[in-house]
Amino acid sequence: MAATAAVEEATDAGPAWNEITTARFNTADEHAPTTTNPIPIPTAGSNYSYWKTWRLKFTGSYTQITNVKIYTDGGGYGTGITTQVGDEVLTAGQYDQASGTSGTSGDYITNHTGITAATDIFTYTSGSEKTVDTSTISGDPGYSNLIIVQMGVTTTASQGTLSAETFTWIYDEI
Amino acid sequence: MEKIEVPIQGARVKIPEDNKLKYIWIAELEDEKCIPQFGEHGTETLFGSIQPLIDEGKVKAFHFVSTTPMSQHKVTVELDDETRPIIFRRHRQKMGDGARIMHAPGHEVQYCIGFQKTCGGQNSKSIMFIDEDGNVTLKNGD
Repeated sequence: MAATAAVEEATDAGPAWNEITTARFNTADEHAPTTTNPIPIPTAGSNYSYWKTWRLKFTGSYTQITNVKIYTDGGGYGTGITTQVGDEVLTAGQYDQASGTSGTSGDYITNHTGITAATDIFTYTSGSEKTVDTSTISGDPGYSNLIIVQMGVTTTASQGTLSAETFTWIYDEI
Repeated sequence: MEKIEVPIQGARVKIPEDNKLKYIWIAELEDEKCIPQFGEHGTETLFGSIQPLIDEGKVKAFHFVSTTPMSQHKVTVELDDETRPIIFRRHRQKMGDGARIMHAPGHEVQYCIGFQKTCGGQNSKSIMFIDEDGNVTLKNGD
């Protein structure tokens, strides 16, 4: 009748793919973290979350999916917080497990195989979205390309849990 | 959802009880026959299965028809030898609990119908975007 799309996040070396409805950036390779392993505010420079690997999984009765994109409301998490998405979108075979020092900082996003640069994800807004997949997706299940997302914290950030921000996915279904 | 049966363009359509679509498509063929997305027994025809008929130029019009029982809302695109139909649903799905479900909070759907035409070597597309309330916006391209 219609495709159902679920957001999946990859962890571990396998990888293990798990459906998520919310995401929390922290300094561990886990898809459903609690408030343990937060990103410490550095005394100089930046600390980073472990990068997150997301894709859409499509199930159900449909012919094809195209034009998979993602965008934000253009807001952001506030002073001293950056959230970047890798400029390149990747295939499943390019998965690279998140790495770093748990409890301190993840490795910067360009250490991910296939990611050479990153852009503030909040520059992608409705009408100016981040393209995730330009191919034609079919099958039950079908999968989109992967995007890599990472939060950075600088010395000017304030301590505490941040207010939630909403990311929106777009896809066309026939 | 209440099960309804409505005759549309001579086609017998039965909307399945678990339907979540607010519009369904009906292909009107040159021989005055119709192929609805849901047939008289509620069985779905996937759009991809009628692609050969489109390629052969045997589809003369596409309709999007409201599945709301009391609505008569219908949007039609007439085709000719130079135009090809465009039909899709555009989903905007927020990350959040329950947003996987169509038309649930955090999941908006636009029903899109139009045509593509090559004119003077230039590719052009005109698409009507129908929102969940039935409002229609015509756009040149996508």
